[in-house]
Amino acid sequence: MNIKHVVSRLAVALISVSLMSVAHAELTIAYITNGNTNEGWTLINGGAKEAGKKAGVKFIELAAEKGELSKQLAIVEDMITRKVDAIAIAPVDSAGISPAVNRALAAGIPVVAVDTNVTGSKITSYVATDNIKAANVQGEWAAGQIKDGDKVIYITGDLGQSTGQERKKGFVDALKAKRPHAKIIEVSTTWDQTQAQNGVESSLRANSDVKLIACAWDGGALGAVAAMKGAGIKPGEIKLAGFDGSPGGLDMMKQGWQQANAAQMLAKIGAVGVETAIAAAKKQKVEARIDTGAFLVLPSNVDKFAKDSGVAQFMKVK
Amino acid sequence: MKYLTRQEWYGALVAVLVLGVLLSIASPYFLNSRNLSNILVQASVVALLAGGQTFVILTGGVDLAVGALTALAGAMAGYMMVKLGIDPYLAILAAFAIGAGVGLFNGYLVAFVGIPSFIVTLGGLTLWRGLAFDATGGFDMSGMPEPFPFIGYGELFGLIPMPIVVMVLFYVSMSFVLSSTKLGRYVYAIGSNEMGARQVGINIRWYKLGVYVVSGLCCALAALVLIGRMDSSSGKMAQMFELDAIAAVILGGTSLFGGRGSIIGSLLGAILITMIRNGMNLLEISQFKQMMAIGAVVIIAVWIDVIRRKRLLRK
Repeated sequence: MNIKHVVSRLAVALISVSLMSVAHAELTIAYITNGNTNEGWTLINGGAKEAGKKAGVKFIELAAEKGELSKQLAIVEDMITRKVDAIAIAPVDSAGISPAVNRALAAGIPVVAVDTNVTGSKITSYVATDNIKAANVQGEWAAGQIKDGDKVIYITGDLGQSTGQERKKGFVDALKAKRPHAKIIEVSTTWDQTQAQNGVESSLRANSDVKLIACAWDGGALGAVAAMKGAGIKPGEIKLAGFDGSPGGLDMMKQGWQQANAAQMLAKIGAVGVETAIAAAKKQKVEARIDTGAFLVLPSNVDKFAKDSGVAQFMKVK
Repeated sequence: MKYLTRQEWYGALVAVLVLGVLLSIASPYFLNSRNLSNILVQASVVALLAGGQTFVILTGGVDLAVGALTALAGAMAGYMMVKLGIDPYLAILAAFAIGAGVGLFNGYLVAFVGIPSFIVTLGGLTLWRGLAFDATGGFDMSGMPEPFPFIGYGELFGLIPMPIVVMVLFYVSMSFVLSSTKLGRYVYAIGSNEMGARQVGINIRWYKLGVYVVSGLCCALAALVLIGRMDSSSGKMAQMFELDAIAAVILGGTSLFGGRGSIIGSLLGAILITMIRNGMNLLEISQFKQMMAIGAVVIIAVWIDVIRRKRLLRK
C-alpha cells in the first residue's frame, strides 16, 4: 500500500464524513464538558446526550482534555467557528472560561452553563443544583447526628470553583446554625479522590474522636471510606454524609458506610441543560437560573431513589 | 527546491500542508481566515515553549518541567497582580526572574553537577507545580489588569491577534540567536559531539547552563500570554504542556538525540499539533480519541527520527 493510496482513501473517508454532517440542516448544539469521567459526570453527560437525541438536534459532545482550561477555551473558539446554534458548557473554571464565552455570546450563540456557573459573562442560563440549598440539607442532617463540640471532617471540592465554594458554605452554615461549637477539620481537594483519602488518613491519625465525615462530592466519600478501612474503622462507626447521589455513593450507603446523601438530580442537570440550550437556539425565552433540585437520600429511601433517578443501572450493590 | 527538501523542517511543512488540505475537504468550517487565525492563537503558547525546548533538545537534553514552570511563573504573576495589587510590569519582571531562576537551577544541576536533564526536570515537574499551588494557596486568580487583556485578546492594528504577534517576534529573534550568535552555534556543536566541542575549547558547561535559562525565560513568556488568554491564573494551568512542546519540537524535525534541527521546525510542529486538535474538534471527535491521536503522533514522530538517525549513521 503506497502513500498515495492511503491519502486518497483518507480523503474519501473525510469527504463522506463531512457530507454526512452537511446533510442535516437542523439545529446544531455543542455540549462541552470539563473532561471529568467519574460516575456523576457520566450520568450528567448521559442525560445531556439523551435530551439531544430526543429533541432530534445535531448533538456535538466535546471534552476538555485533562480538565485543562486552555483546551476548553480552544474548543469553545472552534465551536464558534463551527457556527453551532447554541452551546451548553460545564466550565473547567468559572472565571477562566469567560473570555471565550463572551466571544460566543458576541457571535450571537446562546451559552448555557451546566452544573458550574460562568462568572464575568452574561450567559443565557445557568442550570444546576442550587448547591447552597442542597448542602444546607446535608449540613442540617449532620447537625442532627452530633453533639455540640464534636469533631467533623469536611472534604472540600475545588475551592477555586463556585461549586466547591457553595457546597462548603452551605454545609458549614447549616451545621454551625445548630451546632455552633462543632469543630470542622477541613480536608482540601481539587475533586481528587486520592487527595481526599490522604487528607482523611492524616486527619484521623491526628483526631481519633471524629464523629462524622461530610464530603462535597461522592468521590471524596470513596476516598474517606478507603481511609477508614485502612484505619480499621467499621461501617457506621464514623457517620458519613455524601453529596451527589452518584452510583458509587448509593453503593456505599447500601454497604452501610454512608448514612445520608444529598443527592443531585444528575441526569436531569444534563438533560435540562441541553433542553435549555435548544430552547435558546430556537429564540425562546429561558430562565436565567434553573434549579434542578436536591433530595436527601437515607437508607430507608435509597432503593426508590436509585430506581427513579436512573442511578440504579450503574450501581454494583443491588 | 533541493534547498527546501534538504531542510529538517521540510517534513513538518509538508505535513501541515497535507493536513490543511485534508481538513479543508473534511470540514466546511476549517478553511477561513477566522479559523486559521484561531489556530495560530491557540498554537502560540505551545510554540513559545517549543522554542525554548528546541535549545535544550539540540544539546541532547530534554526539559520535562516546562508545563510546571509555566504554571509557577503564571500563577505567581497572577497572584502578585490580583491578590497583592503589584504593578503588572513588575509582575512581568518577576515572572521572567522566576523563569530565569528555575532555568539556572536546572542548568546548574545538569551542566555542573552532572545529573541527567531527564531526572532534574522530572523532579521539577512536580516540584514547581507544587510550589505554584503552595505559594498561591491553591486559589485561582481572575481578572488580570492591563496589559494582559491586550496580550491575550488584543489585536495589533485591529487586525493581527497579539499572541500571534508575540509568537512571530519570538521566532524571528530566536532564529537569529540560533543562527548568528555563539550560543546558537555552540548549541549545535555540543549536541552533535560533546567531547569534540570540549576539545576545541568550548566551555560547554556555561552554554549548557544557558539553554536551560533560555527555556525558563520562554516558559515565563508563555505563561504571560496564557494568563492573558485565560484572563485568570492558577497552579493548575498548562497541565501536560511539556508533552505538546516536546512533540512540537520532534515533529518539527529536531532530533531527540541532539545536534540536528531547526527553530522554524518547532513553530511548524506547534502549528501541526494545534491543527490536529482543531480539526478533531471541528470533526466532533471525542476527547479520548483525541488523547490517543496526539500520543500516537508523538510516537510516530520519534520513530521517524530514529530511522533517520540510523540512515545518517550508515552514510
